[in-house]
Amino acid sequence: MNINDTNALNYQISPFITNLSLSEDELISTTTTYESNVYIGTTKGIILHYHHFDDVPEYILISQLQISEMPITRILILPVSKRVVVLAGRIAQVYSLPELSPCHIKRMKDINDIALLRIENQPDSILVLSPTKVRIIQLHGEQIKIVREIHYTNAIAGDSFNPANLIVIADGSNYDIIDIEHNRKIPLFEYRTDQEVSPILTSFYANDTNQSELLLTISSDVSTAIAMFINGTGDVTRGTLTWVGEGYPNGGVVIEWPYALAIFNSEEKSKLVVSSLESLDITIAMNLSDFKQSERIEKNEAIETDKHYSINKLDKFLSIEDVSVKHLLSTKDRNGELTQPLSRITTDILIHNQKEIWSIHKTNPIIEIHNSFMHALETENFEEFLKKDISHLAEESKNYAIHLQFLAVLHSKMDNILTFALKQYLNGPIISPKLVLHLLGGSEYKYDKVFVGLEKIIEDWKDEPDLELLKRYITALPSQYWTPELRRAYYRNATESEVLEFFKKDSFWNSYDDLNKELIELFITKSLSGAILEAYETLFEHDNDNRLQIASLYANILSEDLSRKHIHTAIKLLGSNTLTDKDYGKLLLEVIRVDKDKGVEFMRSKAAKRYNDINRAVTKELSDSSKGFAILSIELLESSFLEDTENQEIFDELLETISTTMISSTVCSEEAEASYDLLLREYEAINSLEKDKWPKISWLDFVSISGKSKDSETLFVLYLKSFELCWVKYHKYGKVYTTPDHKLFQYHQFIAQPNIEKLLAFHDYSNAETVAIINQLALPKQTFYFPKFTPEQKKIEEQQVQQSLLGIFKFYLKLYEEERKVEPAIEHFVETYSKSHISPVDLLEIIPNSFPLIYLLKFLEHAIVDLKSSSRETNIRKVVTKSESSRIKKLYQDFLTV
Amino acid sequence: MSVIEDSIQPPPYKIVLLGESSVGKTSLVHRFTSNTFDVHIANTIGAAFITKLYTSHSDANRKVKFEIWDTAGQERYRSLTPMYYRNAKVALICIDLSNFESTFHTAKYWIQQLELNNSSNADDKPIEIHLIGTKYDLVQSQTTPKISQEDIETKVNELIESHGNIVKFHTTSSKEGTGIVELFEDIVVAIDDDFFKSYYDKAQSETDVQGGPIGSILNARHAATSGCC
Repeated sequence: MNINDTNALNYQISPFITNLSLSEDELISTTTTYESNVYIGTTKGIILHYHHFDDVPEYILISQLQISEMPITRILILPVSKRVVVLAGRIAQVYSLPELSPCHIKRMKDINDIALLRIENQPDSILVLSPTKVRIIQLHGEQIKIVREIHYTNAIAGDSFNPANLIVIADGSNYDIIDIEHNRKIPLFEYRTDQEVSPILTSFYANDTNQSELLLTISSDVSTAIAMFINGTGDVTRGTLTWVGEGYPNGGVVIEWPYALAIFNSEEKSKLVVSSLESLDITIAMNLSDFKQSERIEKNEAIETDKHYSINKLDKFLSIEDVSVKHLLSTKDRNGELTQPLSRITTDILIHNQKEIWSIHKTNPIIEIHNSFMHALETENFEEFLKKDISHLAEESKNYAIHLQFLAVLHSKMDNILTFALKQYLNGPIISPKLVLHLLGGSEYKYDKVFVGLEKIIEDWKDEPDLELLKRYITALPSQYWTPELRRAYYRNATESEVLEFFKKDSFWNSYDDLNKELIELFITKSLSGAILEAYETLFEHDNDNRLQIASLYANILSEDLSRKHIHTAIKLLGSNTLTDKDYGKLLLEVIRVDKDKGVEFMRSKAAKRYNDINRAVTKELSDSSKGFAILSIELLESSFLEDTENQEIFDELLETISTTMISSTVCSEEAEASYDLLLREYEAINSLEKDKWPKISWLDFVSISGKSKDSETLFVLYLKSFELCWVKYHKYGKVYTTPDHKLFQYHQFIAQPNIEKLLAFHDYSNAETVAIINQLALPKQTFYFPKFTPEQKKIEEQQVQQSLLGIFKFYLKLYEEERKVEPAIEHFVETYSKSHISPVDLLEIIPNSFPLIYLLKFLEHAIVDLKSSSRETNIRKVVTKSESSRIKKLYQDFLTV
Repeated sequence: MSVIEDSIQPPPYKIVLLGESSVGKTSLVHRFTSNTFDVHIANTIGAAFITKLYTSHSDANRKVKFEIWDTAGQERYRSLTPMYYRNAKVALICIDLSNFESTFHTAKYWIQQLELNNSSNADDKPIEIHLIGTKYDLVQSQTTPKISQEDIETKVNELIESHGNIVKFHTTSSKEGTGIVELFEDIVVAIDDDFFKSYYDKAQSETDVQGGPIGSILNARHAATSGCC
């Protein structure tokens, strides 16, 4: 037993079982224990059986057994044979342990007292004291075996040394040593004078002499008692312990080396007196009361109590709830709900009055550590406190001590604060992150659970918040322990670069929950655009449940302030197929604004089909200022149109777009117009009637072939496309497209109004002749949209065809007469149309006589052959007709004659 | 019974009651020991111990002192129960007939536990199990019972057939006092004659010795000697 000062011991008296089920006039008469069981005998002859279940801290009453009608005076545990001998009303009965079933062993009657002897190789030997004899017995099965029997008158108490070669017996007035080997009695001394007292014999092992000793009390007078010490040979071992003025230790004496604890009950009070066996001085005198909580054994003021206290030492240590640290180690949550500590201690000293039982046990070292901290806090000097070794403490106590150490280093502003703050046990951080947040971040952050012993310290904590330390703490704390408050605190106090760095560790950005929404709002308030985008990107990647919502928000944020740095992110989002049309379009425009090439490339290769309309709208919007967009817009429209060529709406939009684009400054630039004019000139040249190459190429085929080689290929492609669409619109849907008033659409007018003269003036002789025959323009050989469409041919009167053709022929002849070298054209015409539409005679009639016959040879040759053939046919027909007529005539005559 | 036997305490006979909480174990014991019934009886805490001298109605020589451990049915106390059925001769495993399914399930648990721990009995004789159907009065008053009598009988019979140490199924009502005396009568009647004979022979030999129990002990001893001090 250590003394930490002159007035206190490092021992506690703690409530053990203080709510016994006793009737009003029923008192505790004796107590004992066996393993996890506590047996409490009462003056009503009942034994209360308490048991400790592993899952609850306290002992629970499990049975109340009526043993006798008389008070239970002794419950003697026989641990080896698992029996218990119960003495009540001078009758001893044997029961089985631990439940106290009756053993069918004869009862022993007229017994003054019983005690357990420690005889070598004879465990569970019982010293039985009766008015006339002292017996040593053992239980063999259901038989009682008497090992020794000694005549001794009125033995009322006894104890033995260990091993028990000698026993000491007390009768009504004396102590005697009994040599059980030799049946000798050696009188010792009287233990009382005139005062009626009970003898007290307490055996113990003396650590200083390394032997078994026996303490024997003696009442000197009413106010004074002494204790003598003898060993197993009957020699006195140490001086006399004196209790002057305390009376007689009628509540018992136990030894807790090197101290003797004795209880003195008087009418006014009960007192625990602790004396040193080394100095033989009284160390502490403590008045006893109905302690409701654990109390240190220390000197105190007199307390009046009419209760009678007793103390007894157990053979084995008992595990009990350590209520002495409840005021420190209990935890309290925000609702004020307390959780008791699991801390247990062992004790082998019980103390009881008539109604309640306490234990005496060593002070839990955490109490001393706590007191040391409080002292250090008062003196602002934690040096000594931080030197204290806490490695031997039980888990809960160690955790508590680590909290204290953390507070100490925090208050001292030492460098190793985080070392303590981050200490971990199996279940995670020892110090709750919420508590650290409260201490480092300020009182606005509430902790949820705290040791009761720390509650006031923390409430009174006055240190300023240390936000930089807080951020370092959170960063160092494993992310699974980041509470919402911690994350909130970090983001609230972090710079953008810190936030972005923190994102790499923060795995809680996986759900668009309230907290993350709140954090994004925080970023917005703090204008942390990078953080906002990072937040949305992470959420977009991980929260599939809210992906569409996040995508929308993300797209809007990106659209608001898109930089080249986030182009890739934006394109990824655009390609995710998760955005609404509105969000998609908005973001797409921004992407194009920031990086046109990337935007166009995206639309070409990665955009989902469902956004075609949007893409078109976007590109249309932009096409005024950029040829690329104009073409892209047309491409997107074509993509839609080719999927549904019957869709007139898209058809019209496509035609309109192409037409508009054609004449837009981006496509129809000055250079492009020059190319067009050049192409016209080239066409005129190549199609010259003076050249003998027939048939002449149509304008559209010429554009199709020669336009590709020009710098303004785009224009010519659009030109052809627009023509095809206009042509189909007219011939398929019977509608005339009103072309823009631009020279590029000059030729387009021929679709609805195929004017031969104008075609001839355009030098498209081929199509002029076609119009003459079928009254409509021919499409070029290469088409873009309707390769198989053939318009319905209208029936044209041959006379009209002839007239139209003759008109063309006259045009050629006129040129000839103007001395243009158009003989090949005339040659072509007469050779082509003399057979099908115009008779050679008619042609010959209008060909000037001066026209060189050389160009008509083939025509005339065919005409003559045809004439001869016709003449021959006529002659044959005549001959045949004539012959037939003659035959019929002859046949008629024959018929008449018959 | 001889005069001497009359003066000898009847042999003790340990019985333990097991079963789900609130099946009526304590009521059964009260009806048997004091012929009383209290609807509002409190839950047993841990265990209660009651003794009752009982003489067979059919054979007055069959007289025993029943030592009855009435255990708590609550789950909390299950870990303690083995110490109460240790060395018991008979276990009465109770089933609430008005709440058959769950209490029957618990009964099966206790049967298994007894079989597992039978070896702890001092005389190595397996504990005899009587299945006790309690609260029969409630079953009779039920218009639509959860389980039919036939089904109960079927399940009980299956259980009995699969466990050799189940002796019998008894239907009781502590409230109406039916079936309980018959139960204990059955137990007493079924006790081996040898049990009584060996008990009384032993007690007789001890009583014959002058000086009563202590005298018997003294005579039996060899080593002890009278001290002179």
